[in-house]
Amino acid sequence: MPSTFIRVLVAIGGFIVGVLLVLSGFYLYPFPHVSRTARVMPDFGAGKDVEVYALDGHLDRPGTTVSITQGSETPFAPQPSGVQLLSEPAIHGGLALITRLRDERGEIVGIATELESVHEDSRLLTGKLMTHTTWTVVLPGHGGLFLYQVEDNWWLATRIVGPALLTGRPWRGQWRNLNTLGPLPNGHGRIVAATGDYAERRGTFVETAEMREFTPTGKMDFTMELRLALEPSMDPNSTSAP
Amino acid sequence: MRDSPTQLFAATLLTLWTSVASSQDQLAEYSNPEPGEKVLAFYSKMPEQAVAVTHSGHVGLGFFPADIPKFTEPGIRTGLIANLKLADANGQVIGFASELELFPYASPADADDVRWNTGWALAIAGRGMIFLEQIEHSGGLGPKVIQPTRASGKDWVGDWKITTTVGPLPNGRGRIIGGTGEFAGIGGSFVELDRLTRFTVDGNMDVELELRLFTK
Repeated sequence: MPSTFIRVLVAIGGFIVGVLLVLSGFYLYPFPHVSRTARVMPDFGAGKDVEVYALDGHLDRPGTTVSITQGSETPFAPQPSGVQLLSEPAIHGGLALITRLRDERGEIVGIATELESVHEDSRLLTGKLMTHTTWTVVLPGHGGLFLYQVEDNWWLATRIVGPALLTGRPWRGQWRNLNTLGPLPNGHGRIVAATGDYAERRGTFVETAEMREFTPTGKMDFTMELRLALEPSMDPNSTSAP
Repeated sequence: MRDSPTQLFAATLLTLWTSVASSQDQLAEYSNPEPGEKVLAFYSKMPEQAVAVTHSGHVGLGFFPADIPKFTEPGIRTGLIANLKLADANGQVIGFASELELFPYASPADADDVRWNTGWALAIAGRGMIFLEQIEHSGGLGPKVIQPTRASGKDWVGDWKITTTVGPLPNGRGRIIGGTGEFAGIGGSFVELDRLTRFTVDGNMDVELELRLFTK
């Protein structure tokens, strides 16, 4: 008859194996939303005016990104040195980014900020690590856009950021992803308001990303794009904001 | 040696005069709620609650952090972005925000009263987001504060309250243009109120900022 010690050992071992199996299940489970890039992107912008604005960051040279900060020093390296962290309890789960934007010719044509807050419906069980994200875009001479989307970062967290932080080794590759998950039924984000040339133009948008490297210190080689799909303007009059 | 009562009186008068002279309040009447309006206010203090501030240098203000990349490219050199933390009336941080400004070519550091367009995005933790647009004016910041500071080489210290909002609504207020979460469907107007108490030689400010939203 096994001793109490062995029984306890077996129980602990069984618990650990069970946890690992559950985590592996979540890691490997093909959550439907993870494959949305292939489903959503081919039809994006069909019949619409599509505009693309890009931002980037690099390890070996400056990118368009001006500032990134969040609640702590990880997962993304705060930049520049001395930028304030969102360290207070209420905003610890937030992220704030400032960037310049390039047009499709590579010219700097605008400035923008991205603000992210943790989405209350994020669940391990559903494979969703979501944020409420707003983009505010100013394109001097053209107008401004206030954009809102729900983002999902499950793949980014489990395949790129998590492994790099856990192993202490950089992730390298070429990962292209549609970050936007909604809130619109077709999986696009919403244009909340627009001014100047964009005033009264209905449309949607998505945020896509290409990650090429992510280091354990949170530095990245990446490109992100804001893709707008706009209906033709119905009212040439514009409001006053940028 | 102790001051005489006359000297003390004169010193008090001088202090009072200095205080009045430095207090150049420009608070617009439309900064107060109309009957039936509810007020929703958010506050921020700079430099304590500044997250990051950048522009091209065109506007005569400082940068935070000092080595933040600047908007030097021709297409964006009249732009400014300030990311700030937001607090409630008790000073508790409850959110964060981005202010995006697009200035004319005339700099508020040089011209008497410059007007520019501003967009705000507010992220209020656990509640939702709010989007605002306004026209702001400098109200004489250049000649009253920036130029004397540059000329003297000394920080400006005073107490100047100003409603920076001058539109685009006919009553002078800015417009609440939308929201999400708890603020979905929000509408109404708002003003930005700034209280400037220091302007340093390198362009940094001690400012208490209030975003005062008026909803029905």
